[in-house]
Amino acid sequence: MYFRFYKAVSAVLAILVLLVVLFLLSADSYKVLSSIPLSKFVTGRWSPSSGEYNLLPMAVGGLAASMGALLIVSPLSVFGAMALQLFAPRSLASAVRKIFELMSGIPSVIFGLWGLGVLVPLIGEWTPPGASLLAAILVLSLMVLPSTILLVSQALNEVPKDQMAASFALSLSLASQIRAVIFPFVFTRVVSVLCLQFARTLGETMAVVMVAGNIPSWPTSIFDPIRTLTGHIALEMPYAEGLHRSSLMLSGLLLCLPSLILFYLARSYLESRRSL
Amino acid sequence: MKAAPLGLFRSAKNLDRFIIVLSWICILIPILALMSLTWDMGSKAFGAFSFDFLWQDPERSGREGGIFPILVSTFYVVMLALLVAFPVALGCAFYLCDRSDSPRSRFGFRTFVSTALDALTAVPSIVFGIVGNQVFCRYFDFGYSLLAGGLTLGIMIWPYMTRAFQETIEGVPRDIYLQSRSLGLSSYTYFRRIILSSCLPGMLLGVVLALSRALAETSALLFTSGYSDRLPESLFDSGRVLSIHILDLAMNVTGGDQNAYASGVVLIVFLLLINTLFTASFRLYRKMI
Repeated sequence: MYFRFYKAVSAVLAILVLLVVLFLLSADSYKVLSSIPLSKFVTGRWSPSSGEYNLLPMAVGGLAASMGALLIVSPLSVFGAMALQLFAPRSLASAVRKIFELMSGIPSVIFGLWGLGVLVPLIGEWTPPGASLLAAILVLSLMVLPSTILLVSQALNEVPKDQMAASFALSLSLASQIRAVIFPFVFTRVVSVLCLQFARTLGETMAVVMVAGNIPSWPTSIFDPIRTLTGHIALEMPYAEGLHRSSLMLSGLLLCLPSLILFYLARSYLESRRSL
Repeated sequence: MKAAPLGLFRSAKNLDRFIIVLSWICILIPILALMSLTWDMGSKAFGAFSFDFLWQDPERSGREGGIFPILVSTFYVVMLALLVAFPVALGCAFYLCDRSDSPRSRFGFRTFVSTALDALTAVPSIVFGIVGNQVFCRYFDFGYSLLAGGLTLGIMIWPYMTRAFQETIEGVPRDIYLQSRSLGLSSYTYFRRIILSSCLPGMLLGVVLALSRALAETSALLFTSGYSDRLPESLFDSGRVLSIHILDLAMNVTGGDQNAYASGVVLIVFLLLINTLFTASFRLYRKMI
């Protein structure tokens, strides 16, 4: 009897916590949206003390950093996983996999630290100031690469062995083997893995704050400093009050929504293809 | 005989060679970058690290001295998070794995719970940070404290822990469940006597995974457990965890780089030790059975 109660309560708590999170974010967002005209959020500049709340550069900056990381990560992870799964000798592959497993557990602060100590000076020598969109993209890519490669190689591992053997027997070239056997089988898995990693880079805070420069303005090239929505919250929360604080909650909500949508897209896409 | 149009590559063999070389380059890039990371951390931390570093108080806001109070705060926050998350995660996993009632329907309550848990894993950790700040630091008036940090972190790692528990519990064969039902065991006895004892190693592994996630977390604790680098005296004191210490030294304290790297190495070594120790003992346990 008590046991059933205990189970039910913890299950209800899961829903409750999610509702509380979403409710708090939307309540504050409503407060700030109802007292400030919508145009203030997409024009002008970011200066809460004079009533200007332009969040657009931050949203675009964050998206640009994640998109850039996605552009780097997708080819590297697909081809890297192929090297790991198809070309490397087994002992080497398992050693590399071990390294990646260890590396995928490393905290994002450490990647930020590496970016700050190595990448930023390097980029700064090339095109100052160094702390830039490019640095953010590279740090984010390195952060998600180990786990992405592992997940993609897991997907490759599930290609039916007999189909691979049959294609060898037909002496298909590697290119047509990839196109005709491997690609159709792993495509959905890879897309959903990349979706999830994209959501992860979108929600990442610390690594980006440390290398991106954090200036709330429009980036014109990849060497310009940017500020992401996550970094925006992290930097302004300690001293924000009133509407300023509420506007940060609004950025939190803006951050939550794409992550949730991506997450469900990835999952439902996977499920719909699996049932075919 | 007509060759397929391959353009640049002239023959299928050249294209294959190109793919293989490209793949090797693609796997080498992350490995080299990771090696650069390890080398950078190791070489820069080398001078600062000694065993005194672990036992001393930080001086001149962390530029000199050690990290003892920070280790203590980290311990409190992470333990509190595990204590908060464990019972709820266990209950949730039991609920999701309960086979006794009607078969799962597509839109049953169980699906709701499962979806909510998935959604919680998708919420970025900084959002947990601001919501935790709003709820625990403001509404409950804990202020910046270890308690607020532990509670926030506990809520954050709870879905991961539930998923890990659920996976191990679903590995128990259905026959065992049917046998326990035919013997007339109550659902409590089934979970207490059979599931808990047979799934214990897997569950411990889940706890360890949650623990390493909690140790690595920064942004959820930034506005809940705070920045103070003094030794915390009670759970209502503010305390700085290891990852925030690294962030602060690297970003806000000029000349704190070396200690930032040393703290980073301490964090990594902790994580690796926990992971390898537990997975090794897990394997040993599997072998013994």
